[in-house]
Amino acid sequence: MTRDADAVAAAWGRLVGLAVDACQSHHAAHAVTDSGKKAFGKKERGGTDPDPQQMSFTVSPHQRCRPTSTGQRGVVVLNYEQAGQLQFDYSPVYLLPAGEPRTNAAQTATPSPMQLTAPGYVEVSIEPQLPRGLYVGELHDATGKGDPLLIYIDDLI
Amino acid sequence: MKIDAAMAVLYQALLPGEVDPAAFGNPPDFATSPQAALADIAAQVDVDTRQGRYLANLAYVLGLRIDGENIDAVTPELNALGAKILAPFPGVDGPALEPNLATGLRRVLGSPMITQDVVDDLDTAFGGSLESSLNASDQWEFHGPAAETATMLIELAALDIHCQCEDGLVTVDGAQVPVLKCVFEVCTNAPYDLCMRGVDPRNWPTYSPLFFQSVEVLSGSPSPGNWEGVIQESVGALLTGTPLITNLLVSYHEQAKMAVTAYDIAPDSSILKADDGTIDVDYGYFSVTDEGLHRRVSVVKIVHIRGKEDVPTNWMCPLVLQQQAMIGWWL
Repeated sequence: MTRDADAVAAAWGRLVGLAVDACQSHHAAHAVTDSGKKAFGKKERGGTDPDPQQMSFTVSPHQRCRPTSTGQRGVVVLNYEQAGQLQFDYSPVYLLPAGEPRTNAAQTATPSPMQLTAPGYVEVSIEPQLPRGLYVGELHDATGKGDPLLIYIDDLI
Repeated sequence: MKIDAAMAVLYQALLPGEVDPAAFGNPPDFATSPQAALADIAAQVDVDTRQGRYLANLAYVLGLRIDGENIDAVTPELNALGAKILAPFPGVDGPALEPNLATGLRRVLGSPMITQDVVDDLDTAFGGSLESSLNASDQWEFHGPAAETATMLIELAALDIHCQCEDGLVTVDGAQVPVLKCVFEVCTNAPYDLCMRGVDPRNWPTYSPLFFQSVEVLSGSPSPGNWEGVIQESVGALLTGTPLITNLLVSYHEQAKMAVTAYDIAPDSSILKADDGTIDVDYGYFSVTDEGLHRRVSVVKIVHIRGKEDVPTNWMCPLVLQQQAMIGWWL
């Protein structure tokens, strides 16, 4: 069960990109209170989980994700809600196949930095010859705060 | 009937033609009705554990969908399961208040918006065990013993049970093979620490027991942080009666606010245990990203099962991708 690597690399593919919403990324995720009154019968596995009755949750009125982006090979479309200068710091981490870091991936995304004049979608060019796999990086805003970035390249024909 | 099989019966009722275990031969008994499935789940599920609460809540919401779409009348079974969900909370009369729970969640099924009406219904259902308020950012804040259950129920009711799926071709051994590509994303309110634990392949059977039977590390030296290796997974016994055994090359990666596993079919190796060869395309990734107010869980899967090209494979969406996407509620 092998795969023709050349054919895979040459195949037309698609991109799935994900940029984390910068305007949300620095808010507190959830708080913990001690408002619980009655213990559940069993301790949660591992003993390190917070007591469920002491957990509080912040729930968005909108219960569906903003969609991540899909696009043709060569362009990843980033969905970003905050205007400003974004540093596209594309870490040379290449996850598939395992054990093969792709140091050249850092040059594959342009432009960087980029100026986002209004919230919306940003197109970033990606080296079209990259083989399929998951590329991991960070997006930095003007203050230097970073958010994770995933770019997945598949080779679906 | 076991809980996992009962859950598949509920999905089968909701997605006729998509969940088709009989096509794989030697299936478990799927002739059982949704009513019996709900009753079995209500009888067996242990709501003292988070995983039990997740299963009860999932079954309850699926039952509401079945009932609401007039697929089948399951009202008495829903009443019983809802009462069981409410029972652990102090001062809550489960049978009396279950209709409020159903009313609130039916609103979410109709529109994935958490309105004041929804919150009022849940407040009533959970009595003094749920305290809710709207904060300055127009987000709902849930506190109290029922906060977790209420949040979980809302997410399950808001879930779009259909994935984004498309057909395509990939090249295997020089030949083009038809594949199904499915993408599923959830923005969950579950804490990041709970969500990210399930991303490591070693934890898949624990966090997604409806699908994963076992995961064995065949090569590689898993460490607490990033690691790479070959695993042998045994999956899908629920649907096939016989598990599918596949060797996967996996890479687990953590960085600030993100955990992700990417995987692909492992090359054949004479020094590793062989798989059964049934699945010849299986690649994608599974990630959890902390976006602040919520955690985004993404599941992307491209798959081909040999000899089953004409069999519906969209069952993978509810039974695999969606269960993985709700990872934060499992344990």
